[in-house]
Formats: sequence, structure tokens, C-alpha cells
Amino acid sequence: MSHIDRQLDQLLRAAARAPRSEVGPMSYATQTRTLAAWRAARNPLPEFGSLLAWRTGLATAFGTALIAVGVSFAASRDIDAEVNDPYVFSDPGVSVAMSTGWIQ
Amino acid sequence: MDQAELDVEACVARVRGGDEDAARCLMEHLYPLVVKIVRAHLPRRTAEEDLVQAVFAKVFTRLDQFRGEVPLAHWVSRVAVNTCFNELNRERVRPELRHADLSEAESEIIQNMAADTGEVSADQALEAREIVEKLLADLSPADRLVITLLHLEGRSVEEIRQLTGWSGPLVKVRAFRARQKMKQRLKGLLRENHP
Repeated sequence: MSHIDRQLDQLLRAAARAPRSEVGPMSYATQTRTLAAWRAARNPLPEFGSLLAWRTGLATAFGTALIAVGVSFAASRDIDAEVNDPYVFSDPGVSVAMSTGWIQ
Repeated sequence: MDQAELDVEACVARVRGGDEDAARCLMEHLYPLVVKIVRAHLPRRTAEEDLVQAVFAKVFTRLDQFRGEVPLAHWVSRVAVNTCFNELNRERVRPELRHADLSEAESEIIQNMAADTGEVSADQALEAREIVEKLLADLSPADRLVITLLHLEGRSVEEIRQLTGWSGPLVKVRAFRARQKMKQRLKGLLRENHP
């Protein structure tokens, strides 16, 4: 055994003799965190279900937007028809005022 | 529940069924074993409690893989050693240790060794441990693990083989290479002291 081997062994033997600090009880915080992590791992979020819900929501939003566009298009056609009538006032306020006699 | 009377088999069965009280009892029962392993292999920049938590998280999530062929403590030791090994792998290797990195007490030990004035005394054990820790920090995680298990914990090659899953010859080769690297670094420190 070489000199440096002996020196290293000497150092390792001394290090192995170093006293270790006492092991106290496990802290409540660590226990609670560990259990929470385990609970979360046991009950993972239903990934497929949440994806399905997200897709359904997106489809519903798209459908609602389409219906809204359709309804507003139909309404605009009715307004166009009313505007083409020269006896129809475009401003409902004016027609109310005329009907109540405020404007002759 | 009294830890000395803990029926491990029944406790494991209850934990598998999702019983959190049983999980708490099992943690309290295994904590001294786990914390001892974690302290022996703790990377310098990792908190002990975080690593303990990581070990228990793995133990609980993999409890279905425990077949009962070996005692639970052996199986948990293996999980703990592997978790520490993975954590060491994440830690970047530190630059080579220089004499200036040593404290006054550590420097005194190196000076005595360089002057060849005999064994390191018992009251210098903590400083010797610090020097070894600093020498180990330069090594790769596998080298560090094998030296800690073999020389600091006094485990046999067979025990290391069981804990790490490495073959017997691989343990011996790694231990030899790790020692060679440590010798080189120690030689460097001694030369700096006595050029």
C-alpha cells in the first residue's frame, strides 16, 4: 500500500468516526406535505374528462358565436327593409315624440 | 400507534388501500432509516427535508411494486439511495478543491498529514469529515455514492450491490477509480502544503 493510500485511508477512517447528529421525529410539516403529494398522485385530475369538457366548451362557444352572427345578419336585413320605407323613422325617439304630440 | 409494535405488513396493506393514518405511521417508522441515508448522501445545495419528502413520495407511489421478497427497510433503503443518487446527478460538479477552500482546522489536518505526524485524532473527526465531503464533491455522483457507502458507512460490496443494483465487479471498479481520483486530489492538497 502506497503512502498516499495510507493517508487517504487515515482520512476516511477519521471521517467515518465523525459523530452524526441525532435523528429527531419527522416534522409535522414534512409529513403533511408528503401526504398531500401522495394524495394528489393517487387522485390525478381526469385528464381525458377535462380535455373533453374544454373541447365541448369551445364547440359551444363557436356555435353560440355562429348563431349570434346569423341572428344579427337577419336583424340587419329587417332594418334595411325598414330603412327603404320612406315613412319609417329610423330613430324610435322621434316616432315616440310624434306619437305623444311633442313634435307636430 | 407504538412504533416498536408496528405491524409493517398490515400497515403496508392499509397504505395500499389509501389509508392516510397508516401512511403517517409508516413514515414515522421509516423516518430514522431514511434520514440517515439522506444525511450520508445529501448534495450540498439540497435541503434535507425536501429530499426526505421526495424519498417518501417515491416509496408511497411505488408501494405496489413491493413484493415482500425482502424486508421493507431494505426496499426503502434502495429507493432512498437511488433518489439521492438522482439528486446528486442533478448537482453540477464543483471545481477542483484548493487548499484555500479549507478552514483553519481542516488545513491543520492536512498539514499534519503532509508532515506525517500520525493518525488524525478523534476530536478532529468532524473536520476530517468536512475534508472528505469536499473531496467527494469533486467526484461524479456514482463515485461519490460508492465511496460514501463503502468507506463512510462501512457497507460491504454485496450490500452496495443490493442497494444500487450495480454488479459486484462494477462496484469494485467504481470504488477503485473513485479512490484513484480522491488520491490525486489529496496529493494535490498535500503538495500545496509541502511543495
